Amino acid sequence: MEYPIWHLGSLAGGFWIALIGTFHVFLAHFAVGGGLYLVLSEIYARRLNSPVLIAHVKKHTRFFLLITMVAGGVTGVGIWFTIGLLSPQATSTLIKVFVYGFATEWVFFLAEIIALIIYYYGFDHMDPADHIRIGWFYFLFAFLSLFMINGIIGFMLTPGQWLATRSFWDGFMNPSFWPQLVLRTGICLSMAGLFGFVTATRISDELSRERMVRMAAAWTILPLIVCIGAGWWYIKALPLPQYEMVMLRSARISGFVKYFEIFAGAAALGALVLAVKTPSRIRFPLALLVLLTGWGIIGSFEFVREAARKPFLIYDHTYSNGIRVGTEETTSAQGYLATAKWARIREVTAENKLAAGAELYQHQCSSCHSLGGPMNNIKPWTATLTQRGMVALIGAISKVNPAMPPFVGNQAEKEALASYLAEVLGGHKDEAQAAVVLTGQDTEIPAFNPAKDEYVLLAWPDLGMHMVVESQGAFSLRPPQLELNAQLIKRGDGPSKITDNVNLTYAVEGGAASGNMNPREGRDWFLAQLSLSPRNPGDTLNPYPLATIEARDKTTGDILGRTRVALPVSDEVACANCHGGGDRKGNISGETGMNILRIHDRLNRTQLTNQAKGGKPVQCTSCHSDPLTGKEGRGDLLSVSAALHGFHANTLKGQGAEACARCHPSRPDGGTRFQRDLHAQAGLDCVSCHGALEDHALALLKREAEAFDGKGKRGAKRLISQITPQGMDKKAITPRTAWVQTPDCLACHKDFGAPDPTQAFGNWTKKPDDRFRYRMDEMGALSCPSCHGPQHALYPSINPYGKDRDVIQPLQYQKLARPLGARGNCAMCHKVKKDIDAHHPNTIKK
Amino acid sequence: MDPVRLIPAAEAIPSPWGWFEALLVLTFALHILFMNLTVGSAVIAFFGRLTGKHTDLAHELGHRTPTLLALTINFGVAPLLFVQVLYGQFLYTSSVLMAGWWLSAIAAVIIGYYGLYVHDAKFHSAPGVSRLALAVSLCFLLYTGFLLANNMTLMLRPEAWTAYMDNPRGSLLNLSDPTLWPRYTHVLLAAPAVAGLYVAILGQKKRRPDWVDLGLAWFTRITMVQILVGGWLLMALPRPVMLAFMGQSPLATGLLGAGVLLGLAGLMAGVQKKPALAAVLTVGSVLFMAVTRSQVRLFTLAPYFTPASLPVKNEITPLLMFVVSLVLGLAVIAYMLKLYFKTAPKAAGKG
Repeated sequence: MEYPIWHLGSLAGGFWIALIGTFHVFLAHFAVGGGLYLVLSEIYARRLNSPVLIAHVKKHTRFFLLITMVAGGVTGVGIWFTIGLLSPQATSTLIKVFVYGFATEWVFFLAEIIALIIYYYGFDHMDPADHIRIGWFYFLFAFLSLFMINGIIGFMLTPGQWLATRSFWDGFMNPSFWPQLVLRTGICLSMAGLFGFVTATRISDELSRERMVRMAAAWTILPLIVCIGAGWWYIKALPLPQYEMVMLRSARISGFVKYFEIFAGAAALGALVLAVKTPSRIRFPLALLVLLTGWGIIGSFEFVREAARKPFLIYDHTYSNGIRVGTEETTSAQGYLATAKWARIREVTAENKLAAGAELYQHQCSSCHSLGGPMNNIKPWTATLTQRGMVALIGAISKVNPAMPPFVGNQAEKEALASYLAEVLGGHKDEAQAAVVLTGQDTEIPAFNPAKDEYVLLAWPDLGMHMVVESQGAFSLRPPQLELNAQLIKRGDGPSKITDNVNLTYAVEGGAASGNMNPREGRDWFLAQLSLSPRNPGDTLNPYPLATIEARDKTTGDILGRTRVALPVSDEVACANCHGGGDRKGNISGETGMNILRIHDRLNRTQLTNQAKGGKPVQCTSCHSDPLTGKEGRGDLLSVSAALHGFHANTLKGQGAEACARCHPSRPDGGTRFQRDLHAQAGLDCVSCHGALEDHALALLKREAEAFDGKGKRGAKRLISQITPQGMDKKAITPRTAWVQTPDCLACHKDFGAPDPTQAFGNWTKKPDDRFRYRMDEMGALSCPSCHGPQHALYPSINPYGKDRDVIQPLQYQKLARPLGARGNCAMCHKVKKDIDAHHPNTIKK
Repeated sequence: MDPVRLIPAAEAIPSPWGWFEALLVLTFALHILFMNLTVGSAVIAFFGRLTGKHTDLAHELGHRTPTLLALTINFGVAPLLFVQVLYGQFLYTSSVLMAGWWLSAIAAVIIGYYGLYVHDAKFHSAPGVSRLALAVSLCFLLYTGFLLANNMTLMLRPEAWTAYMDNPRGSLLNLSDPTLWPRYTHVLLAAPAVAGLYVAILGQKKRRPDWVDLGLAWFTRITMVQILVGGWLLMALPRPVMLAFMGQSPLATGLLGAGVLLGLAGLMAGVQKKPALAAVLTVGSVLFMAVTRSQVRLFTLAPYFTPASLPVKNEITPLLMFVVSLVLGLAVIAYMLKLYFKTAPKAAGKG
């Protein structure tokens, strides 16, 4: 906001600080531990009165001086230079808060180098006792330097009370001060051992050499044990958000922790191998190799620490990109470019959109991301999201990924950045989502003669739309399976339901499926479970294939009834809209699926991409439960519905039904348009009954948060805390179990009367059998969809593929596209007119 | 574009600004003196080896340069800290503008540093390598000085910062500044002059009259040139700043005058072959020049900023910690030096 940005391309993303920083701390830790190593080695050598060992210690001192004072000391200044260049804002804060800390450290640094120079140049002529005293002074001041810097580094990760008091001491003696000091001291001592090998392996006298090599091995290994304990203490001492970042959230940290373990293990192993007597031509190169593990140890530790601090440079005070915490809102309102002093473009226009995006990238992203470089390359991520997806992601970035700071800027800036990322870096431009042109076809209505026909055959699918959520080769959430119900009614004054001595069969057009239907358990009708592709043989979408159902007398084979019904099934899931990789077919392509898995891996520490690449597509329900299909998942994780809606409530926030259409096949100009019923015709949309995405997600998440005695399933409470509901208090939202509970029809249609649409959201069905698709009329004779059609296709539904396609039975039996029996059509089943509302109140409209 | 708009906002400091300015000037003077000794010794040693007349002196000097550089760096850290406290918003900005160059200083110093060690270590065993190492080292140290001169002048010129709008890649330098070259030359020439005095004093201690003569020759001749370069620098300053030193500000004029007079007195002492007196006067002159440099900064930035305007949030105990550790640190350093010199070989000074 205040400072210019050093525009770096591939070497951005903290490359310089990683390079100079890890190199410096590697040497600096040696400078501390090595000091103790020197003085103790000298005492040891003098006690043994061994001229060879004394000469060796002097040699090691020279090596130590050349390494720590020159490369170590200068790279220390280099860190100052580097952080000043990459993060001037945070550096300024550090300097001003801790100027006296730094100044004190400088005094120790001065005393340290003078002690070291005296120690080296006075090695031969000084009185041994005095000389050893100098050695102790060196170590004292080196350790005090560490003590000072330890406080300042710890402050950045855990500023503790400083955030409130702004007091030097609160910042310095911060919550991670002591464990970090012990951990770093352990690392220092281990480094001393590693560097000890370099000179010890070259001592020509065998006895002395083996003595010193074994000593170096002990120095390397023993402190590592201290490190394990101190590391545990350090992690335990972290405040909850930092702790969660290390232990649960950050996919990158687990990698760094693994590296730390590998390098520490390699160091210990290397030290053991070196301790075994081997020829020096092998031993010395090996010593150098083992030395490098030290760089790995310290480097991976620093990476863990820095990653735990994300998305801050100074926790809760300065974001990783230098933006001050607390300034986001006003800056976004005024526009980032207009506010940032060094922005080279002040406002986004149609002409400068991409350039403005590049400028925003440099200001807000380049501190952690590189363009194709070794550090945190952003390009692979830009390839997997469309511009639309980028806009959605950027708007929710800090919530979706807790390691990221929020985007600061207005809508135009958000879109400019997204365009730059997608178009310039990702190399792809969004295609406009073309309207799908559908041609309605006439539907053949089976014959029915009310005067002669003795049977009415009813048929309905269990849902108004079956969403097939599957990505070829990547994952599968729900296969294209659906249920077909059929009920045979023998007409008469008192109609009867026929289940005995009849055969019911079904056949889907085009030979897509066919078979027998079996009596449904506990009900007096028939059921078939079938798998149905939403695609024609030519791969075009066919979301409403028609099934013909026939009932025959088992004995005679005579046809008793024949009807048709549309079986709604669609794989139109527009993930590609945001996640890219679309192939214009409207379903989830394999590439889109892999893009999604990659994000899942990054945010949840999974290895799904590898699993899928290895030929085992991911079954979402193997971890996440799905109440619709009864899959139980792992148990501790959110249901698929809660997870997907909860996650996307951040990226697709602030929208109406268009948010639903991003994933469900409800786009008004899409290939499915499944919202086609009475409600849609009355102007209601998804949001009217299910609530806006945020509200819907909160309802599902609140149920998940009740699990485990209120501890909640993993992520439920976090997501709840992140989502802001649309137009209602979060507390007022009633928990809902996905699929097991649905909006209760009778909440609006109280006593089957005139509806009050405001009651739809939040009044969920109480019992599974209260749901529309299972509910029976008051006589227990008919289920709701048998007369009204399935939900979302309630009669008089108008199907986009032909106006009669969803109302075949009403047209067949009563020549009227209304619920069966509407307008006094009781004779359809009863053969005579009735005047009692036996099925439910208001059946016969007065 | 109005450069004032570009100046970053500054945060509060924990003590009144005068403290930091004083610490800045004092530690900077020490830094520049050690720099003079290091670079000047390297220059004289280089010439000594080039002419072949003063190989023994070159050896003596070469042996000391790594230690002198260590102290130069250490005493560079302190003013770098204090300048950030008072002028960070200017320094960070100019640093970013020349980021690539600025960062390269680290590598340059490391190379220069190791070069000095190689020069010393291989002095007799591999004279060619040793000479080459010294030359390389000198080049990199001079390069580092040039970068410092660039940054320290660029930070004073918000009007030049607008170049960033066309080049944000961190590859700018401050070459258009008329003060850059005289300033760099002025500071640089001081190096062999000060080191010349050091050589003269060393010659006195080691009873080498030829070293005394050589050292004083370096000192007096270069100091004479310095008078001209100093004048050039004064003339190159922005007019209002120059006028401040020409009488408009009695304090600034007086401080510069004191520095010049001390320098001239040092020169006189040098001509009279009194190296110790010349050294005392020269150190005094450097101190006054360091103050003058700080005055230049204040006057140049005056249209934009004065450190007196920085909000102060007093914190006493951290200051106390610093003062106590400084006193104890210096006491321990004195004690360590005493232990060292108890048995130090007569021929060698410290290091």
